[in-house]
Amino acid sequence: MPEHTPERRGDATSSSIEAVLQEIALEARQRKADGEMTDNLEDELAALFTGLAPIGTKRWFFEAARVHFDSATRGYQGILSGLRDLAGAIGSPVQPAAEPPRATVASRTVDRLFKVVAAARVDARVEHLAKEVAAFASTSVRTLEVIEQRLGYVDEALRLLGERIEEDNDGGRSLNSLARHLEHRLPPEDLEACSGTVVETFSNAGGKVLHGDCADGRIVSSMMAAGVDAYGVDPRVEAAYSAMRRGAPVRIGAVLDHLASLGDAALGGLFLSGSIDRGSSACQLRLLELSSQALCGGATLALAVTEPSRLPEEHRDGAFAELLDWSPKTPGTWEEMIAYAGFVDVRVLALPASGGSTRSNTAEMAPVAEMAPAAGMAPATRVRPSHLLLAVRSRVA
Amino acid sequence: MSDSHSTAGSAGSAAALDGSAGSAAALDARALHQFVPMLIANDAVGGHTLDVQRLARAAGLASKIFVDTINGEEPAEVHHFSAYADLAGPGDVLVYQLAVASPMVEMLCSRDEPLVVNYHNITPPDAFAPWDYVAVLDQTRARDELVRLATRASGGLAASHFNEAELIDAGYRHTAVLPVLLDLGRNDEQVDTPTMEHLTLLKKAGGSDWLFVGRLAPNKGQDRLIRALYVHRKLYDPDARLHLVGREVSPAYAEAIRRYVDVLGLAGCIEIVADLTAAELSAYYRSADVYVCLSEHEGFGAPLLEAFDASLPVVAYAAGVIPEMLGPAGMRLGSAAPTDVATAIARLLRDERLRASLIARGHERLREIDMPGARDRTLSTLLSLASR
Repeated sequence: MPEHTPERRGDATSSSIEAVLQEIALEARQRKADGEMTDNLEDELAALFTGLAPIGTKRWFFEAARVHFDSATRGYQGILSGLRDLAGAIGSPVQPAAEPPRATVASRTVDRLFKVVAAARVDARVEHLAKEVAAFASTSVRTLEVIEQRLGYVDEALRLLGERIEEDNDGGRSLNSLARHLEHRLPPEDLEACSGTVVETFSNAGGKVLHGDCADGRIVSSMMAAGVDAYGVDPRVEAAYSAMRRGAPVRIGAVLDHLASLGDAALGGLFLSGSIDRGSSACQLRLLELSSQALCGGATLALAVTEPSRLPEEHRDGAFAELLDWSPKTPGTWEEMIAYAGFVDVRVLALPASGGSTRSNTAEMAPVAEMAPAAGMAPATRVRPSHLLLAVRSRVA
Repeated sequence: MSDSHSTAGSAGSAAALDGSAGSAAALDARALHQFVPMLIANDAVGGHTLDVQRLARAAGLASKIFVDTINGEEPAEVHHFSAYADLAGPGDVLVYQLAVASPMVEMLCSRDEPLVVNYHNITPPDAFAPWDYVAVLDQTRARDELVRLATRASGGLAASHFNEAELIDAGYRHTAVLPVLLDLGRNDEQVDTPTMEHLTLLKKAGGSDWLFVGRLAPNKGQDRLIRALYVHRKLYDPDARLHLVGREVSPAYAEAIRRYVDVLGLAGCIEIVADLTAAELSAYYRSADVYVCLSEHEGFGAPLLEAFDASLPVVAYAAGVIPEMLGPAGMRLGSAAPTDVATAIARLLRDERLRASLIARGHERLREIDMPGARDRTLSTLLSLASR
């Protein structure tokens, strides 16, 4: 673009324009001084427009999420230390009561095993929850309340489980009975609608395929049946029991931690469900970034998510704002987050809505239903994800 | 190979990289294909892309346009960028029209044909932060792509020295400056009659007509224009009108603008229109009394040149590329404060000598920019950059 030609000697126009601009500035000041406008009119006009902007969750969301995660991670250590102490107290051995005359050696063993398993589950769960909730410093008060609620849920669960096992009608305590009762703690998620697509997607994966938050391992099993080298990670001990019965390898732990422990390009595929959809926004972004690092170039990431309108009413935030922590996100936002984390060719597949959320009224679920009010949750409600997102890890760093 | 950039102030910047015939021969160029995220009718980048295609074909080069989004309303034949792999041939030169983020960058980076980035500037993400976080993400990604392409592209063509500086900062070793190709010189026969009649009818009620052409987006400052009109009507001309021409790109900002107009009681004197034909847009330029631009960021400012072409005096806030585009041809304001703008326009409208001077300066500025000459040099400049 050519620069403007220098002012010609004798041309009064340019200097006239400059003089005009000075006169304009003077006139503008004079108008204000003469009281033709209120002192604050310009500011009020600007403030009026600023007030029409959307309420602030959209400001620098992704960068803010990163900042929160980094600072919260530093604060997490202190929280985790306290929670571990609490978990230890919950899981500490109970003074043995006098055994009934009919008690057998086997029943004492199961009793101890139950306590150990419960303590381990509590510890793992609390650690997982602590990491999840510690990712946003600004909502620390609420997170502590939720932690307290969830610990109360766990405590109540232990008590009811103990009572349930004693009421077992199979003539004694057994590992199967224990496992069956522990399954009631599984996440209320129904992945049936996307199971086939997930298996097909990873059928040609060039490496190990991980299902993060795999719950009872049924999708891991299905992938293995299709010849995929698959495994799962889930923070719930009961997941390990259920998966073991299916012959599916499952590691106990938080998906976030597991991905961080993997080397770059360690996975040939990754399927995320469960807490990916219900975690804090900062955690979700961090999870996507770790997924990008863990996957090989060209490998597929699949996410099962539930759009806000498909969640049961009690799971929706009363002041719904998509970018608030724990708020469900629309597929469009997930699409953007996935692309931001370095994935390409993002596809959004709508899953069948039939069935939606259902409540189980079986007798087996009764103890869980009893616990729900104490925890402020409705764990008996099963939620079916509304969308499956597929994306490809970019081949270029 | 040493870097080469345009020489600031030289009217024929491409001359530094000329030797077009030699460049094309060295390249054995047989086709010049362009990649643009979307091809939009009556859009500066879209019009420029079509112009480049015409130039390429006139020079005997095959030329296709590839996009990442096809909506069926394109003004010319387009192909999805994923189809290029099957259509690629020896002697292909690729030009990427960069203004927004696009998944086609990944594909372009995976190819090895000579590539030139024709840079139209990327709106700073800051502008969208209060309004649209998806746009913040898009603009951030676009800037990342600009840098990423620096090592892939043979060179970058910018529409202004302001834009060229960003290319150099991003790491482009070879750059040149040529304006966006615009279809100027529309005569009165190309003005849409019904639109002109509508605007003439409004004029009969008295009051001045302000015009701004640009997407309804935060960086374009339509809210500033509304405040300036409010103050101008209060202090100088209670019948003044504002015409905003541009399509909506930020729904939250557009909604806020409409509510703002309502809240301030300006619904009867602010018109917001979009998707005009060239003839309808000409009617707005011909009918207006002043072209006002209070943008915080403009990539090129094509409407300023269109205003000069329509003999319209220009009042503009001096931000971004505006000072370079205006030169001495417009009233360049150091402040976008409503009272300053309102007073400047009032002065312009009552000072016939000032008005005539600005109009004459606008015509002279168009001669300096030399759109026909730029059109002649565009193809050779692109080929020259591709040969680097």
